[in-house]
Amino acid sequence: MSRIEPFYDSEDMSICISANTKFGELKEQIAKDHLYFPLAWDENATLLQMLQLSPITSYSMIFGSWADNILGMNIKYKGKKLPLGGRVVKNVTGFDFVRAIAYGGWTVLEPIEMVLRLRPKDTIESLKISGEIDSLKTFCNDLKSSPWGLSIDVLDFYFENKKYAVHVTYHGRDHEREILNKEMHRRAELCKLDATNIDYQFPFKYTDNLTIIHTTISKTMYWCNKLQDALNGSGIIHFGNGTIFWKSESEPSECQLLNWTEELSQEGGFAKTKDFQPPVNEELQKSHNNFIAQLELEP
Amino acid sequence: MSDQTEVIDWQTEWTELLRKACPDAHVLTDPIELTAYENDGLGFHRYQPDCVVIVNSADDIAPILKVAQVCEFPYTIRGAGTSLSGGPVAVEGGLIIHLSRLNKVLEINKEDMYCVVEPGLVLNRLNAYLKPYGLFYPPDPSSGFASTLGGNVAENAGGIRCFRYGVTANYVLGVEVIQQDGTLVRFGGAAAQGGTANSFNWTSLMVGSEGTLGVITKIWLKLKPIPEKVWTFLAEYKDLESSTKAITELVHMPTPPVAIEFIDNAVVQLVENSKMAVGISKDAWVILTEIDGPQPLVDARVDELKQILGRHGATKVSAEDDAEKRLKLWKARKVAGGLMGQLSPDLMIQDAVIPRSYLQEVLQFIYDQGEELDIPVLNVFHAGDGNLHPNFLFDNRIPGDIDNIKTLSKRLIEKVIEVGGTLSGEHGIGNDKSCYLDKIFSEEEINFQMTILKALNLNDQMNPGKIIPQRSYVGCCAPHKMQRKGNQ
Ligand SMILES: Cc1cc2nc3c(=O)[nH]c(=O)nc-3n(C[C@H](O)[C@H](O)[C@H](O)COP(=O)(O)OP(=O)(O)OC[C@H]3O[C@@H](n4cnc5c(N)ncnc54)[C@H](O)[C@@H]3O)c2cc1C
Repeated sequence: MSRIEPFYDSEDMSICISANTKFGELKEQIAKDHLYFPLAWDENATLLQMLQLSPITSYSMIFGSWADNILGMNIKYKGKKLPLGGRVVKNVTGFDFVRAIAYGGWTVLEPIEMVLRLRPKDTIESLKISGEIDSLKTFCNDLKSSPWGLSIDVLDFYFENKKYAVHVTYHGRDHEREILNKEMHRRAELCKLDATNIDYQFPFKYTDNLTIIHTTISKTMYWCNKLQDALNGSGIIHFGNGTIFWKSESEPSECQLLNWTEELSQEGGFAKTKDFQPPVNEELQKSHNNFIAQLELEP
Repeated sequence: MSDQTEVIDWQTEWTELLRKACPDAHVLTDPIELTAYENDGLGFHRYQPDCVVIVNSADDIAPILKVAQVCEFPYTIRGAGTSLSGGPVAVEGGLIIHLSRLNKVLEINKEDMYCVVEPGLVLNRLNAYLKPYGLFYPPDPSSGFASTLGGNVAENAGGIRCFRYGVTANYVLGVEVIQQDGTLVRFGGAAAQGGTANSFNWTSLMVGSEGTLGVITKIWLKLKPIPEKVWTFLAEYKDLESSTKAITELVHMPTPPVAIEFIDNAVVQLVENSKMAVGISKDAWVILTEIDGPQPLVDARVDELKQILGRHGATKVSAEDDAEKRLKLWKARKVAGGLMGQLSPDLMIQDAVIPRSYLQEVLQFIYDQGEELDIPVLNVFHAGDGNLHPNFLFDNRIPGDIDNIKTLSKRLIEKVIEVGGTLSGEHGIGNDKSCYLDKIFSEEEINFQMTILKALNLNDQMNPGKIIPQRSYVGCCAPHKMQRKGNQ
């Protein structure tokens, strides 16, 4: 028996669940207790699929990455279930393999069960802000670095050839949402943008052809233009975190992904798709290989 | 641990080699000077190093590690030495590499909301540098006035506001590390919010590694905008049960407070009998909590907070937005540890985390156990995270007191593990808690933990005796140790 076994504790707002659970199933199980796991985005995809694609999603703006919200896991190691981490929200007992795996997108040592930190669900409201691209950029930049940026759940920039929009999501009691709504309208007006209430859902599905780019916030537009030229299609920038989800008819070639990663890796970023992620970067090759040898795993 | 410790046999020529390797650094060997490096914030577990090098530049470090490699002596990295788990002490003697002078802010990037710092920079100084940019670095250990960012990263420090903002690990985008063989590597960087491709995330392994996986020489940190408005609330309760019920409701708020701190009535009495008194009724159990953000929104939340705090039989609830008065409340909270020194000559501060639904049960358990062993127990801790910090008061001179402390600590740890908790939430394991590791981890888990050390820390030369108790450095200079290992 592992130290970590499947459980659900609504009072402590945590759950240990198979990594292959579809998000829709998790959602249903916890909704009755007014809880949710905000970082997952496709009800038909499994938790592991989404985690491995990108630890940064829309709600990372407020809740951080998946890695910040996975408290523990069981992995399969040498044919046995091995527990890592635990079920509490702070844990510095030993090396942080939970984060190391959750942030690694790695398929060699992958979670079979995960302990997730859940959040109390509130009424959520979204606005679509539309107008000129430069004004939208100003809107996003000003918002993310103002104190209001601390109260925004989602700041997603939609990028398509000559079609741009920003989606802002926030939660709260009625009077709180009213204040937030008013402020977002004021900011939109200042930037000569239109703001309309919508029911915002992350528009892409896991089954779409998705390319993920991790870069700095200021370089997201440069990368969106590059992806537009190379692949066509459309993208969502998670503006607070510098991550791009790009959807296109065709996938980029391995060569393109490698070239992009070479450029992105100057600052620690990279490009990947579901089927391809760049090889271990040169800088960490030696540590990686040493470690793999100690773990007695195939490189 | 101390009776098992075997110090190495330091050779004077090693000191000379170190001086030559980094002529600009300060090399200390005078026993009087070395005394300052004997212990950390815990105060006990004293181990004198043989030599200390205070480096002036990160370039000094690789040559030092090369000397250590050739001469085969153990070394320990030290920031400000405020650790509360015995992290920066030279359990087996050898060298301490002191990094406090590597204290520069290398970059502040307002648009991308990150900064790059050297590891010796003191946390609160970073926030002073960031203020003009309208940004701040949220993790806030109470030692922020002294502790360094390198130490914070190596311990994965937490603090009062981490309930809402998260711990150090949530903010470290990348690190530059000098590995045992002197190689400089960079893990992550400004664009690394998405982690790593195709491998472990090495930055995450470095965070909380307690100086056992390399010397961190540069850190990329994520930043947040400074909140415009802050309200601090103080609620008084007549008993433990009412206060823990209020905590549960606060934790379940969809927009929870940034901090939820618990102060028991014994600590309140101490504070109220001191110059730091803030007018709390002396027999009260207290919750200190805070909300922050943009002004209109935060102001609109005040009533709800007051209602929640008042719902569970609070005898008094006050809300404060005046900066000076708020600061006074937090000072009263933070000074508690210091005031405990008035009650007893020695103090053991524990650090464990439990699922929050067990708060009342575990707190009551600690009070009962303390009473049984005649050890006063005082509690002031990060309740929102379930991060307990029970303080055990004792007098090392009284025979039996230290044994009672060990018994009490052991019972606490066993209870914490029984309810699904863990050994440490922010102070780390060091050499203080390593003896409990096998209570929570199975042999397989400990072996798994060891693999990373075997990959990056040959012969346990870096910070031996920490995290995993059986870690002891065996270099050619310590054949007696080899013998001991063989004898075991
Ligand atoms: C009054 C007081 C209050 C405290 N409050 C809190 C609190 O609220 N939250 C909390 O989390 N902690 C708290 N602490 C504990 C302590 O301050 C933290 O653990 C802090 O992070 C240690 O930083 P430091 O610079 O003092 O590191 P040190 O104590 O010098 O070292 C700590 C560990 O980090 C390693 N290390 C240091 N620098 C490096 C580096 N550059 N590279 C690799 N390894 C390195 C050392 O080897 C050691 O193992 C408190 C301590 C005191 C005395």
